[in-house]
Amino acid sequence: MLDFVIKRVIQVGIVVLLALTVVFFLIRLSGDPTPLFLPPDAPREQIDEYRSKLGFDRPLLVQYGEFMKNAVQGDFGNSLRSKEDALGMVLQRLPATFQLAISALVLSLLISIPLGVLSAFKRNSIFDRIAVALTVIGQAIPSFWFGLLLIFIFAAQLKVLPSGGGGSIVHMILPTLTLAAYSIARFTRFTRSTMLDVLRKDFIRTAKASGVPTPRLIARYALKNSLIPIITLVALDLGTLLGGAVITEVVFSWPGIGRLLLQSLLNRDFPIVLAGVFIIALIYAVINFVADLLYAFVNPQIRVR
Amino acid sequence: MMEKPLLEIQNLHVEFKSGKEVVRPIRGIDLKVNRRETVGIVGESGCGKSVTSLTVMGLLPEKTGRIADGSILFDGTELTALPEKAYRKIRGNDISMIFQEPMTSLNPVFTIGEQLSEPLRQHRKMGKKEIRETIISTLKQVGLPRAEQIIDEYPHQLSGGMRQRVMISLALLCQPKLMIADEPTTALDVTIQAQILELLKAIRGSNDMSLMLITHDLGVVAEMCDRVIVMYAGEIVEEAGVEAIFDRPLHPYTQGLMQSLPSNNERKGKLFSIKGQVPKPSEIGKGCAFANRCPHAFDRCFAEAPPVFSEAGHQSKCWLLDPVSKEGSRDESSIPIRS
Repeated sequence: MLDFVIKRVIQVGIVVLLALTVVFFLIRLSGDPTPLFLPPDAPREQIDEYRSKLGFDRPLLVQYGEFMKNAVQGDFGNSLRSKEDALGMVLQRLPATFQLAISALVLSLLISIPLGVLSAFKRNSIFDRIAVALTVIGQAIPSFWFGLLLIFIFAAQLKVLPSGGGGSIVHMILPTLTLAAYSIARFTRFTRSTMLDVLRKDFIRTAKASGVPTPRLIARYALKNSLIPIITLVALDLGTLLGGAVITEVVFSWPGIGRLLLQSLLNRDFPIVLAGVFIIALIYAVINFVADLLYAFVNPQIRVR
Repeated sequence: MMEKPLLEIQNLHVEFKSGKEVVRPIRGIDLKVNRRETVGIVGESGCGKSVTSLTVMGLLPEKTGRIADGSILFDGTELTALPEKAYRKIRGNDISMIFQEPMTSLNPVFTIGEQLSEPLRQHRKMGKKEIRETIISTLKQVGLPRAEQIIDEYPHQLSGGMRQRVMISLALLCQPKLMIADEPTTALDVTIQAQILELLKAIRGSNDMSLMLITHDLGVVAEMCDRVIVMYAGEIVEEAGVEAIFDRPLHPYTQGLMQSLPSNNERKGKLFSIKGQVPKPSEIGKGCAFANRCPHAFDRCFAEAPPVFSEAGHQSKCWLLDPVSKEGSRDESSIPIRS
């Protein structure tokens, strides 16, 4: 077990370093940030001077080496614009992103697992067909459009919910729904197909032959078997919910990492972008690691090995 | 007067719907299982053996399978019209079942104890401690060593033979009146097969229980059964006591099965096989279902389905046994009857 943990921790490190490397070079393709921080009519010498002050005049590989050296020590530099500590700015936004992602996750699990189970159990019924149709729609709708639709209906027309901003439960409703829509659809479909698969297994027949009533058969026996693959998907999607909430955060002006990242990208505020990518990659890798541990918890066959 | 049979199936028809097509895997069977009797059901794959057992258990696939006609009388209860709730009180309690695949028939994410507690939980009012004790003593009864540890282990920690013993103890827990064993040894090694058969025999002997043994292995039948039922394409073609059937098989299909046993072919180079294949349910015409593979078939076999001919408890569905059609068409020497 210790072997496994050590191996996985090293893997997490490698994943994060690779992500930083790729983003470091990609972001440079967006161009030189220096002119953005000076007045448009600034003389050439001033721009050159400022560029050399920021260190952007050095060879790219040297900059990369310098960045990595500092990054592994947790220093991502200061924001080019506000001069605040970049990592600190990102971490400050983290709770808001977590709040949104976790509430979206909880909402999707609460809806999708019962829905998927029922849908599998009553397969080919009207209920199942409607559920499947909804999940297809849910997966197909782009979140920016769905978010705007919700704003149009609930904020602009009915005027019952705020269209953006953070702070209270009321503010969370629409962004949570927008972010959860895709996961609800995905989890429901996946739960349904996994459950259908499990219900065909020999051991389900054995349980039936023991006289187990259907509700207990599903809630206790079939569900635990289905949970193993569901956990993987949920873990992968939690990463996506945390890192991929960019669009939702922007649409609803939610003060999370996603919106900060987008703003920083538009400003070419490289330190913040890299600090943000670092945090998201780290979360993503750690969640996957935790999912593997959870597996062992529900699947005794893995536990023993 | 004879005791009433424990299980009495009359004119049972089972249908499976797949799309618009209707398949009939069981086409009018009558069979009895007496108390404390071991009945063997033999036949090739697809002859309806397993469907028969699932029908008795009430475990036909809900959406597609249904009993089209007939009655199943079990210990005075008509099972065909039984509501699910009442059926559940019988399953695992009065009738229990052992399946062919011990490797996949146990749930991999629950311990043996958790799975074995289920029939007791459903059918007996017992405390946790009492349930545990009953399970341990049943595990010991089926010859499992270290029952106290096995109860907390997971299926993957046990071998195939041990898992089948666990399945047998699961079937045994509530002391059923009827145990159905569907190919209980097919998936096991030969040495383990013998042990499991011995175990089933011992259990049958020491309990007030009937055993319905489904197998394609005539060796198992000879070893275990009091009476044998031979099925072919969803029908019962022959039924007799175990000695009668081995001494003097009447139906050409049964004769074919006997001849296919390797021991009867020792001196020949090639094993005997029955030519052709079991017809698909859609291919069965109005005549005898075996006619197209039967070496003795004559005109009437293709035109008309044979009724049951009975002599001294030995029953067979074959025109060759009809005294009338025998006259003209049957070549006396064509049926190899061993004396």
